[in-house]
Amino acid sequence: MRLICLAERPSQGLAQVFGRDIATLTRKDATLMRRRIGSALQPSVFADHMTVWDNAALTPRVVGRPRADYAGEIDAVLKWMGLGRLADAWPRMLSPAEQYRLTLARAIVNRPELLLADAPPDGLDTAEVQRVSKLIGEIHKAGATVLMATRDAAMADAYPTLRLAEGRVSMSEQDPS
Amino acid sequence: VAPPDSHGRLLRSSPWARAGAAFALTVLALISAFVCILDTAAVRAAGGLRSRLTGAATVVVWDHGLESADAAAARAAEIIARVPAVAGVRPLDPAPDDRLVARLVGAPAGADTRLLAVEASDGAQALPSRLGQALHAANLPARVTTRRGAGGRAVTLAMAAGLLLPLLALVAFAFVCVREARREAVRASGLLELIHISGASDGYLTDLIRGRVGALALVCVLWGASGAMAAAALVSRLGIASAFGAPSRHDLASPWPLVLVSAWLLGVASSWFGARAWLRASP
Repeated sequence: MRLICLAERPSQGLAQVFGRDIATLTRKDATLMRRRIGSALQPSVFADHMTVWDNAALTPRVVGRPRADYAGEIDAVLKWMGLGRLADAWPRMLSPAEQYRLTLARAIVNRPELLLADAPPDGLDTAEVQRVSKLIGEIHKAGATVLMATRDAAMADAYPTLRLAEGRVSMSEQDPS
Repeated sequence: VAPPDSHGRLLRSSPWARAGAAFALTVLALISAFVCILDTAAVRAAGGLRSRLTGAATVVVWDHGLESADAAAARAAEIIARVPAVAGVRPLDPAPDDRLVARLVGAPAGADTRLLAVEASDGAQALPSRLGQALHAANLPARVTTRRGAGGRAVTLAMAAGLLLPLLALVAFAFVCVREARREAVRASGLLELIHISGASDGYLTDLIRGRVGALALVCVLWGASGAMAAAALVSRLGIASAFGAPSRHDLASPWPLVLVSAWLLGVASSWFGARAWLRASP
């Protein structure tokens, strides 16, 4: 996942994202490609000194979009993720489930073509896991390709699956495209 | 949902983590500014001495008993004119730098002094002692000096140190800024990586770190400058740097145009390089 979101470069072998070998990307091209990818990887990293709203707005802010351009989108995404009332809260005040949803909100706010997500953290109740699954399904329906890493067989079986075992990737019978 | 009025800072303020760097930068700014002030005073004093110490010898006389400084100078001129090998004697009009000359030759503090420039004919090696003896015999309080030009070795040393010390301090200042930029990046590495994979450009990230270190450098330059000015004012008040000329009020501003602005610009530039080097090591 870290290779795909260009947080690391491959030491050997071939890794292609959007049809391009990530080992040969220039820094500028890598930056442009990162803007097409939303990352909701675990463990979540937040700017603890910034509010939930500011954390959700991190991506459009750092790519230089004007605040007036995305303020409405942040409000809408937070509401979609069930965090609308917590916009002015601090991330450390959120429950693990809410922190996970904030990570999702931050990852999708720039409308990425590809969303990378780790499974929700352990310890969430069934209702919360179902809620997260539903949200990810909605994100997929909204047009993003979602690549999610999980050990939860029930969650995995609902979608086309790539299995990673002993360093080898195998594909499920369903077409993952 | 009403969004907050303004964004928070992307990187958290961490004053304790930066205390060591802040202290080092402040001390370096203080040293370079203080030396610059002293050096400016020394150069100014040297210029003043150059204009006052003329001729083969300079005689300093001062008021004594009921005799005023002007009367003493007139009497001294008559006495000096009669000394063998003296080609001419010229009383100098009083000037502010006379006080410095008086201190340099050992006239009593607070005395009202006058200077006389003495010209000599050939073969006047013993002139100072002859002048001293003649004036002493006439019971005239005076000092004789044959110093000329820039005011001696002490001022030359001060000027050399004045160039070298701020230069070394500036190099160290830049080094601390580079190191602090890298530490800043390591301290916030988790958040910086998040910002990086969120699509921030290299320039955005380096500017983020450079801005923080640049702000720290600016604050430290201001602290250092304030400390240097206070120390120089104290030196001036206590009359410590008499050999070099005590710093005047005008000298206190001397580090600003070159030393302190250079320090800050160097700090900003070097922190950019430090951040850039850190970034180049990441994917």
